[in-house]
Amino acid sequence: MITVGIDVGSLSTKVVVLNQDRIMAHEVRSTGVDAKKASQEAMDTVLNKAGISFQDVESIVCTGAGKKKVPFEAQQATEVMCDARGGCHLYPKANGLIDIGGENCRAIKCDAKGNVIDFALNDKCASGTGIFLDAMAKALRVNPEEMGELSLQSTQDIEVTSMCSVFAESEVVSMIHRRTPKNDILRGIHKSIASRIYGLANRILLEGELIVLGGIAKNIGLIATLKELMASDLIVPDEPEIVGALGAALLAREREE
Amino acid sequence: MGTIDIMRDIVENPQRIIEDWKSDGKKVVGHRCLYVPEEIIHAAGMLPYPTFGTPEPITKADSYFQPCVCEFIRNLFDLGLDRKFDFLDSLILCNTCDGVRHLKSMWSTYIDSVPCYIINNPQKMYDESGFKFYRHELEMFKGMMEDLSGNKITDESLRKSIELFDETRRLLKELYMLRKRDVPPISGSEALIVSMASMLMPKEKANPLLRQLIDEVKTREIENADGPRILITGSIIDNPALIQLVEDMGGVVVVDDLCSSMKYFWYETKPNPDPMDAIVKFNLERAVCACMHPSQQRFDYLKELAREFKVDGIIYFLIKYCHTFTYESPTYQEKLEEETPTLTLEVDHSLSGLGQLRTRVQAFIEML
Amino acid sequence: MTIEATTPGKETFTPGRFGLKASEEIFMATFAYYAGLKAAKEEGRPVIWAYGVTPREIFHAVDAPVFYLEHVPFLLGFQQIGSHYMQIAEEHGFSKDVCTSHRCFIGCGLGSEQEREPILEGMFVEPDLIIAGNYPCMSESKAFLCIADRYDCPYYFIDTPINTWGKDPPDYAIEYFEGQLKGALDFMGEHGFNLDWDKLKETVRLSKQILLLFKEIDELRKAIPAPMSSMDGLVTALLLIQVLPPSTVITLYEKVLKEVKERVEKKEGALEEEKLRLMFFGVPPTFNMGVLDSVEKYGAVFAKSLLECAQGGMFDPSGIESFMDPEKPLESIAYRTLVDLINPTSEAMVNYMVGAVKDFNIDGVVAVVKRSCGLIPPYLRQIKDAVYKETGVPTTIFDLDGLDTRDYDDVTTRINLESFIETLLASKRR
Repeated sequence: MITVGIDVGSLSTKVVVLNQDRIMAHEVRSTGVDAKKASQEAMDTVLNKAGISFQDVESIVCTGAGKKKVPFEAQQATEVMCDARGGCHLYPKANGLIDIGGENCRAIKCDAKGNVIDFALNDKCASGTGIFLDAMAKALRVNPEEMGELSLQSTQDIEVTSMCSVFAESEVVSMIHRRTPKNDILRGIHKSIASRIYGLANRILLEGELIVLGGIAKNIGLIATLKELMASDLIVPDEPEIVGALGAALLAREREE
Repeated sequence: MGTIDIMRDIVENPQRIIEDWKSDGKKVVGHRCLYVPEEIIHAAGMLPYPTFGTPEPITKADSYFQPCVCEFIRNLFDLGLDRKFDFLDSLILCNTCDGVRHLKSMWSTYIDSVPCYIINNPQKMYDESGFKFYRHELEMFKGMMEDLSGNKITDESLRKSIELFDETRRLLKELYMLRKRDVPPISGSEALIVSMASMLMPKEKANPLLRQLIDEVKTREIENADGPRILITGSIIDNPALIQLVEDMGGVVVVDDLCSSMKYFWYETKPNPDPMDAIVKFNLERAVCACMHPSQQRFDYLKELAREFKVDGIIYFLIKYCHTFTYESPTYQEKLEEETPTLTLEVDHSLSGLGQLRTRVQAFIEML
Repeated sequence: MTIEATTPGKETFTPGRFGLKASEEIFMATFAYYAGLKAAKEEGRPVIWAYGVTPREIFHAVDAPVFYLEHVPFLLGFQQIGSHYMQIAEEHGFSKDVCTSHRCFIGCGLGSEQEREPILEGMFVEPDLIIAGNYPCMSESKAFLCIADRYDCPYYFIDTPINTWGKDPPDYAIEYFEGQLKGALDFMGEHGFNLDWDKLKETVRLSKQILLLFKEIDELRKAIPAPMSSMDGLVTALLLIQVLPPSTVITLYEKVLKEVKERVEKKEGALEEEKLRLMFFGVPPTFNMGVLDSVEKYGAVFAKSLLECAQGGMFDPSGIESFMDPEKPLESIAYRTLVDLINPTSEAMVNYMVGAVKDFNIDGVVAVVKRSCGLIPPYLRQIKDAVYKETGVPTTIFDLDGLDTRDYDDVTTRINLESFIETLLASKRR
C-alpha cells in the first residue's frame, strides 16, 4: 500500500512517500508564504522522485501548522501523534521524543509500544525554536548551518539571560557591541535554547532514550548542550526533519487497514 | 581564624554540625518558617535544623510543581528529591503561605525518606481565640516531638529551652545594634552569615561564639562605609551573596530584615509562668511575616528600624512568585517611601540574572 | 476609552453554548444582581465587598448587599474585558505574577471613573465595608489591602485554618473558625447589619437545600450522554449562583434539575455518540468558552468540570445531610468550609478527583495552569499521578489563563486539546 504523509510546518514543508514500511522518496522545501502552493509543489516533486503518480497513492495524512491548507483530499493528524509514530517506528526502544520545530517545540513521552502517554507543547514564546535561531544567525551574521559547530569552539561560558526571544536579541546585539567573541555568544544562545527545551521535557518527566526531531536537531552544538543538561541518551535520526511526515504516512496506512 | 570565618565555614558546610550531633545518636528535626517553635524540639533533646536552600537552578522540582511556584519551595523540594535532606528525622512546616502548604502535600506524597508534618498556626495576631487555637496545635506538636525523641517534655525543660533560645536572640540583637554606628563593625553579608550560622548551630555552641564575636568586633570598623546606609528586607533570602552584591555596588547594609536574620531574633519571649503560653504569645505577637494579619504593624516596625539605623534607602528583595510579599509590594512601597526611598527588586532564588540586578542596585544607590 | 481587539484571534472567540434554558436564566440573573447593588447603594444601604469564598450564609442572614470580589472578574471575563482592569492594576504596581482574578478586581477598585467601562460601570459600587480573609489562598489575604486603603473603609479579617485533618477537623478548629464567623457578624452588626439568629438558622436550612439540589444535579452529570454543556456547568456551579438570595437559588436550581432530568430521560446530550468523556479542571477560558464546545467535532464532550473557584459552595456535596444542621448554624458553616476540597492541603481534592474520574466515566482530564495562581496549579501533578495510578486515565496539563485575554494562545490551546483527544482515541482503539 502506498501512502503519503505531509508535514506543513511554519518554516518548511516535508513529504514522505511510503510503500508499506519502506520510504520510497521524501522532499523538504521551504513553506514560504503560500502553504497551499508549497504543499502542492512538494507533492509533485516527491511523486516524481518516487516514480509514481497521484492515483497510486491510497491515502494521505497531513499534519503541521498548515495541515488544513493542503489542496488535496487528506486526513489530518496532530504533530504529536505523527512524531510519535514516525520516531518510534525508527527507534522502537525510545522512551520519548523532542521535536524542535520552526515555531513550536514538543516533548512527547511514549510507552514501549510507541503509544503517546504524555506530551507538552511550548507556550507562545519562540525562544526554543528555529525562528529564534534564524534571528540570532542574522544578528551575528553567521550561516545558520554553521552555528552549532562554531558554538562548540567557544572558550568561555556566557549567559544569555533573557527568556524572551525579543529581549535575547537585544542582549546579543549589546554583546556584539562589547566585542564578545561570536563563538561564546553562540554557546550562550545554545545553552539558553537547551534550557528551554529541558524545561519543557521536564514538565512531563521525560527521561531515558530520547529521539530529537526537527531540522534544528542537525545543530551539533545544540545537541551537545542538551546532552550536558539532560541525563538522557539523545538519538538524532539521519533526517530528523522528515520524521513527522513519516509518522503521518504510517498513520495513513494504519487508518486504511 | 576569626569568629566570622568559623561561622562562614558553618554556613558553607552545615553537614559537620549534623555529623557531630548524630554521632551521639540524637535526632535532627528540620523546620521551615518561623512559626515552628524550635524550643519544643530542643526541649525534647533534638536539634532544630532550619532548612535553607541552595543557589542552584531548579531541576526535577519543575516536573512536580508548576514553574509558577515560589523558587525557594521548589529548591527545597529538589533537595528533598535528591535526598540531600535525608539526615532529617522529620521535617516540620507551618501554615505561612501557599507554597509551604503545597510543599507539605508534595513532600508527603513523593518523598518517603523524611516524614513531613505541618503545624496549623493561625494567621491572625493579637487574638485570644487565635492563641487558643495555636496552643492546641502546639500541644499536638509537643506530643509528636515526645514520641519522636522518646523523651518527655516538661514545663521545666521547656522553660530552659526558651531561656537558651532567647539568649541567642538577645546576643544576635546586641550584635546587630552595633550596626547603628556611623561605621558599622560588620558588613551586611557578614551579619547574615553570623545569623544563619547561629540558626544552624546548637544554641549551646552558638551563644559562646556570639559573645566572643561581640567582643572581637567592639572596635572593628568595616572598610567602605561611605556609601548610603541600606535596609534590606524580604523573606527567605538565604544567600549572603545577594547582600554582598548590594555592598559591592557601594551600599552599606546596616539592617537586614529577613527570615534568615532579624525576623528570627528581633523579638524575644515575654516572661510567663506558663512556658507553652509564652511560646504561643511570642509567635503571635510579633509582626514580622507578611502572612500575618494585620500588616500595618510590620510596616511600622520597618519604618522604625529605618529611623533607628539612620537608613538612606530600602531595598526590598522579592523572590519570584512569592505571592504573599508580591501583593503587598505596591502598598509597602507607598508606605515606606513616605520616609525613605525604596526599591523593590524581583530576584531569582538561584540568583540568575545577577548582571541586571547589579545594574538596578547600582542605579538606586547612585541616586541616594 | 475603548477596548480594542488587540489580542490576536479575539475576533474568533466564541461564547459557550448553553445546553439548558435554566442556565441562561441564571447567567442573566447574576448580572442583574449587580445592577441591584447599585440600587441598594442609592437607597443609602452600605455595600460590603467580600472575597468570593466567604460563606455566603452570613451575608444572607443579615441581608447585606455584597459585591463579590472574584465573581466580577468572571463576569468581566465573559465580556472579554477583564484584561483592561488587570492592566490598571499593573499600572498601579501589581506584578503580573499575582492572580489575574485579584488583579482584575484590584484594577476595578483602583481605577478611576473614566477607566470604568460601561459594563463595569453598571456593576460597580464603592465599598463601605470589607470582609476579607485568607481562604483559600494567600492572595486573598493580601489583595484587599489596597482597596481598604483607597476607600478608607473598615474591614474584618476572617482567618480560616487550612485543613490538616481530612474529614474530621477537631472541635477546637471548628470553634476557632466559628469564632471568626461570629466576629464577622458582630462587625457587620456594628455597621447596621443586625443579626437575627432565626434568620441565620433559616439561611443555613436553605443553604442545605441548595447543596442537596446541587448534589442531585451533579449526580446526573454521570449520565451518558452528558446532559450539561461546559457553560451550563460553569454557570450552575455554586460559584456564580450564590450571589442570589437563597430562595431564588432554590427556584433556579429546581428548574435546572427538572431540565437535566428530562434530558437524561430522553438521553439528550450534545453528542449522540460520545467517543470520549473529558473532565475539565481549572479556570476555563471565560472569554472563549466556545473552545471547550469545539471538542465535540472530535466526538468528545466535557462531561464534568471541576470548578474553577467554587466559592462558598462545596465541590463534593456528599455527606451534607449529616453535618449541615440548621440548629447549629455556625458550626455547620464552619465544618463545611474547613472540609471543602479547595481548602489546602491537597489530599481531599486529589482523592475526590480519583473518585470523580471513576464515577463520571471520564476518559481524560484536561487541567489548565493559570500561571499566576498559587493555589491549584502546584498540585496538578499529584492529581495527575493519583488519577493515573488508580484509574489508568491520563491527564494533560497546559498553560491557560481563563480570565486574561492578553496571554491567551488560541492556536496552542486547540492543538493541546486536539493532540490529547487524538492520543486518547488512539489508546481506545487498541
